[in-house]
Amino acid sequence: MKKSFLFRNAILAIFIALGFSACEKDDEVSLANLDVQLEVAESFTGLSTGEVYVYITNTIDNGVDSALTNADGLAQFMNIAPGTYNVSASMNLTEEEAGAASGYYEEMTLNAVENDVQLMGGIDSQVFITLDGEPASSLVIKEFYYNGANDPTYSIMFKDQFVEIYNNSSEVVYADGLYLASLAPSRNGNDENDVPLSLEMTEYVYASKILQVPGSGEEYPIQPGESIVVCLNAVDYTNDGANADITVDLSTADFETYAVDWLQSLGRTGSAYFDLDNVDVPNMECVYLNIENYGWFNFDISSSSIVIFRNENFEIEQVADPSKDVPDFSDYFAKINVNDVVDGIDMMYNAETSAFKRLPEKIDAGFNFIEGETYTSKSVRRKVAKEVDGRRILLDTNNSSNDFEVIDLPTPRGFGE
Amino acid sequence: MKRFLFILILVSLFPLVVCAQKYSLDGKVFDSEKKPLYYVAVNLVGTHIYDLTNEDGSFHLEGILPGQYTLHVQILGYQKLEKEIDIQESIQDFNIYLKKSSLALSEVQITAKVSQSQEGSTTYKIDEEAIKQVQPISVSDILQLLPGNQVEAPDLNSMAQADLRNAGDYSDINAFGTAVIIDGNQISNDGNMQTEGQTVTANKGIDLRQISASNIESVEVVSGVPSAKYGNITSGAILINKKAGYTPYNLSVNTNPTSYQLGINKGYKLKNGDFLNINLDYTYSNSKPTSRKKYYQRINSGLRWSKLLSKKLDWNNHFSLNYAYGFDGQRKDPDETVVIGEFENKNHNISFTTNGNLKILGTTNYSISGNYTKQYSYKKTSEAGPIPIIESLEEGTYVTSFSPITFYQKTEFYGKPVNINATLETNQNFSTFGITHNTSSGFNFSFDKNYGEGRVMDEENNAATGMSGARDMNFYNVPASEVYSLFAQDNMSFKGENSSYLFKLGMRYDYMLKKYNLWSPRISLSGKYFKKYRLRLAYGISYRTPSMLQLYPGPKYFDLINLNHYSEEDIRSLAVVTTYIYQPRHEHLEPSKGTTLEGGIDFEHNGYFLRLTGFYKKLKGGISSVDKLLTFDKVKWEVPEEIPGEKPNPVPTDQVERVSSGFLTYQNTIETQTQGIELSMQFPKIKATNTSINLSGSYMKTHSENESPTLRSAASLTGASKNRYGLYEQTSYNNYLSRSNVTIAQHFPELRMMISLVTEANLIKKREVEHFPSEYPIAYYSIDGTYHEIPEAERSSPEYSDLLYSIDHTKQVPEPSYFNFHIRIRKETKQGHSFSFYANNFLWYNPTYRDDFNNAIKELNSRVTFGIGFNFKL
Repeated sequence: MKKSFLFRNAILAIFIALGFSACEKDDEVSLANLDVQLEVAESFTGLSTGEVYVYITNTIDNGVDSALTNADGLAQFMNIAPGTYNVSASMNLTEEEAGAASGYYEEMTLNAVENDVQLMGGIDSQVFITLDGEPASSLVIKEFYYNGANDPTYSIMFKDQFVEIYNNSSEVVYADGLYLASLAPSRNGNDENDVPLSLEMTEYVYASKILQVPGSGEEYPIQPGESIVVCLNAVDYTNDGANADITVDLSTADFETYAVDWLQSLGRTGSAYFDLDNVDVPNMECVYLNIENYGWFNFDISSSSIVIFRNENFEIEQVADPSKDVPDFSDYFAKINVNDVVDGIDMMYNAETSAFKRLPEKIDAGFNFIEGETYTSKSVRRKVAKEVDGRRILLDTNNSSNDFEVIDLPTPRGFGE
Repeated sequence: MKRFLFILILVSLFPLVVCAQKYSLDGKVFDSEKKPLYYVAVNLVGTHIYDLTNEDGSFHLEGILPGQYTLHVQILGYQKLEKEIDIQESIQDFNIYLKKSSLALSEVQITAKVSQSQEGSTTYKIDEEAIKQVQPISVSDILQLLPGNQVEAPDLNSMAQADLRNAGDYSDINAFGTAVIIDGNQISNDGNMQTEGQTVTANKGIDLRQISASNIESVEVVSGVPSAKYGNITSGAILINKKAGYTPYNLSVNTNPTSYQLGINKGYKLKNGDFLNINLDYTYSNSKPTSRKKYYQRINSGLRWSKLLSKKLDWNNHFSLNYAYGFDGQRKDPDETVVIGEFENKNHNISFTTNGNLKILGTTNYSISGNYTKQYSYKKTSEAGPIPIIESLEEGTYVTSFSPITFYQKTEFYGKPVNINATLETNQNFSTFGITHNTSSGFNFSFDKNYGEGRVMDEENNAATGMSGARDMNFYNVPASEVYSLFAQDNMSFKGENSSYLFKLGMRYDYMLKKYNLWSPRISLSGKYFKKYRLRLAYGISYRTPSMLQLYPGPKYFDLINLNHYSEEDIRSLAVVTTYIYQPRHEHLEPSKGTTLEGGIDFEHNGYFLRLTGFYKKLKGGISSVDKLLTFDKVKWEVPEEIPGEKPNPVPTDQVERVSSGFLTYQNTIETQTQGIELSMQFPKIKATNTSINLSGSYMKTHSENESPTLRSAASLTGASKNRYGLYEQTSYNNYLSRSNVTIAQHFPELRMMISLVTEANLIKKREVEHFPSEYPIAYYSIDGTYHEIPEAERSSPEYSDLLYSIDHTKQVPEPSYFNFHIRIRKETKQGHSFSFYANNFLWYNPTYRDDFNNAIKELNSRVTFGIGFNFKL
């Protein structure tokens, strides 16, 4: 009898604990309607917004739907599932069309985008999107490998990061003096509690780290269809082939970074742990690093945005960055004028974190991401648009969602064939 | 000095004894079946008069001055009895009946009880019934019963310290000043020098999760001014009494989603009347319900032998021997093919204690303990090469090679801290001019030394560059830390019309760090009026000696890379490195000083009980790590000419750069001041339903400042290339914390069941900047490492514009007020078996708020957790 009472208590206790799990009732799903009104930026005149495809991408399942605009630039989406969508449209202009519309005679792609449009069931919504763009550039980022090696020992970590810059034009371009910047802030939505930093990014982008290609002007030519590889450390991390399936040989890169001596000359401390100087590979010039001590020029591994730009006149400004990961030090960013940017790519944490974009539409109308966690050995590479006389012309619509693809292993100076 | 000490000891052991008319009290103690109880402690509260009952239950108290007393009768397993008694003549045949403690009794206290105690001015006593109700695994779980403390699920995977009377910031420093005293013996963590491993416990307070809760009879927390007997503290004391006496076999099993605990204890009565208590306890815990990776294991075992050495002297002696094992580490995941990092701490602890009391020179208490711990900490990490191999233990410049891409670095710490602690104390009662004096005086000695081998670097491994202080360091060369103390206290009581007063006057002398003579007065006054009201006032000073690691932090290594000459061709690959060694000096460290002032009012009438205490607590000279700058010459090396296929021959150039490196050292720089109010309220029990309601709460404000300036290089702030470092004032903060708990206890004596509901109101939690530092530097280091003070008038001059430091004026977001609800159920059977259950945050209530300062959405309250416990009496 006594035992059973004890037992009843135990059962009671378990029921109390279980009783707290709540149940939810499913409601019937009602669908949504969306009107998208396409417009063109003021700097382009005489362009019709009719007969343009408008795309909507569901941020959860990446499902894409499209509709053509009518003569007034209106595209209508009927009976779509409620949810969050990224809305986009683009328009390719020939040299003549571009010249007529903007006075700038160069092939270009105009992009219009509105991210994170919330659609609710049973409600008609409307969004306005504006087509805007920059001429396609001769130097483009061909490949960006920031995600870290899929190395269970983490002994490579992200030390094999690199950026490859490609000459997409038909003429020789000199890399001398070209700047490469990592953009801020590092906050990217990988923590569910992250809130985006609302920086106005129409005129400037904000950099936390800046490097520069050395040379006096004509020392580092890049031939049409060729590229330079800028890596963190010029080391063969494949370690005599043992790691060939997770990383690549970077000992033949064109440039590497080494910040220890530069930081020490500024009275700061570098990281001899992450920074290595290969005597056979020239170093990038160190320009700006907003980490006081123990910093080096790596890229953020979970989401990373970079630009290449020309113009030494950037200013360093304190920006109230509420991301307090590194208190006090992360507040200083170098402000780079958007007009000086040659090319850029916005890599986000995942499909749903476009609110953390660090680049304006005219540089990168979209964004891309590497699915899954960090340290996957995955890289992101620009697609080939066409081949002319054996020279690959890479796709450059200033929209990384279109232009880039995620690949399983980096391919410096190659296209994976 | 020695002579002075000797005289002081003599004086303190033989205070004046003044004779007055004294009476005696004789009686017997029985259980409810009228069977005599043996070895029952009978004493008069506030005096040192005590006796232990004989086999026939009889006791004899003598030397009692006329007056009102509280008679305190206690034995393990029975409900404690407190009885008011007026002694104006000798009393005989005073019979006392004790009830077996169980939930069938009508009076069961399940919250911390405010007590008038000999030990200090504000004390909270937590008795066995209250302890059982919270189903604790370690002592830290018991402390959730203190006013203003949060109810939290047991967490055994991180260090648990007692953070008494602190609203935020510098918890480690506050807890470092709290003494933990088990059976009269102060536990020491001062010899702990393990600075790495799974959990770092060096330089902190006592790790309370190591102390098992299963064999504890009561816990008393002194948060106010402690009696002069307690020293080497700045923030109160926790007194733990373990079980001694007869008990049946007691088998306990406690489990919650992350841990389980199994314990057995038994108190034997031996044929010669001695008692032998044994206990064995095993605890296992994972850090998360979903992951087995991090885990903690603990074994506590003990033997306690209580013997009446002399009936004539009432010489009661306890001898205990304990062994404890603690493991804190990680297990290898079966899916994990390669180890990324391994961390562990392992402690074997053996301690013996002998303590007792006897009637000689009044009453004499003594306690001697020895404590030996074998500590092992281990850290093995997979490192990412290639990096220059640096393992020099001497200063100098040398050529070295590069590590492979993958290598392991292993650091081991072997510590053997030993602590010896001895206290001798005598107590007398006498009366002069209507004032009753209860005096105590004595001395205390504590000794800490570490005989361990220290930090040992594995020979196969490479030291990482740029990481100063990863190399060998001996512990056994570190001198012992000794504290000599003398104390004397006189508790004077006297009566007025409708009032009675207690005036405690104490003085303590500590001799610390072999050079500091420190005097700590402890004064308290309380007056009781109309048997309803009591006014209290107390003031006290205390000192805490620095830990051994703070005094001897070991050498710091600085490695500069003169040449980084890596190549894929092995033969060409080399680095030139210069190692500098700096031995931090510790002579400047002083004991930290704690000051407490408090006052309060109590009201007690018709079952209503209210106690309100206001306090001010100050810590001066708290020790924390401080930024320092050292500069070194870095000679640039080069390889002038390389011959293919041959090893390069590096040579120094005449290019020398002055390179600076920051490092941390210890200083007495922390000052904290806490002001607060503590409230305890008890309402009369609702007799019809057996419901009792208890309210406790606190409001505190802690002001903290760090007087050591912050160091920052000019370069990072503006991108300028001036090579100097600015020193800036630190921000000072005010923390506010207010919480209250309402405990509704529903008791069903006939069912032997107790259900308690705790409503926790988290009212205020905020951190405010009290003083933003100036953006101008107060001093700077130039590149050659020299220190330049900047006169206040010149700080804003353009000359220092590169040193302008932008101050973040963002305000921190306070936590909103929120509730949390907990339920506890305990049920006993007639045989004494019991079952208990608790659910913390049982309403699964996790409100969120937006924290603009950290730019994040934050969740409040921990997730719902529950635990079940069984206790069998065999």
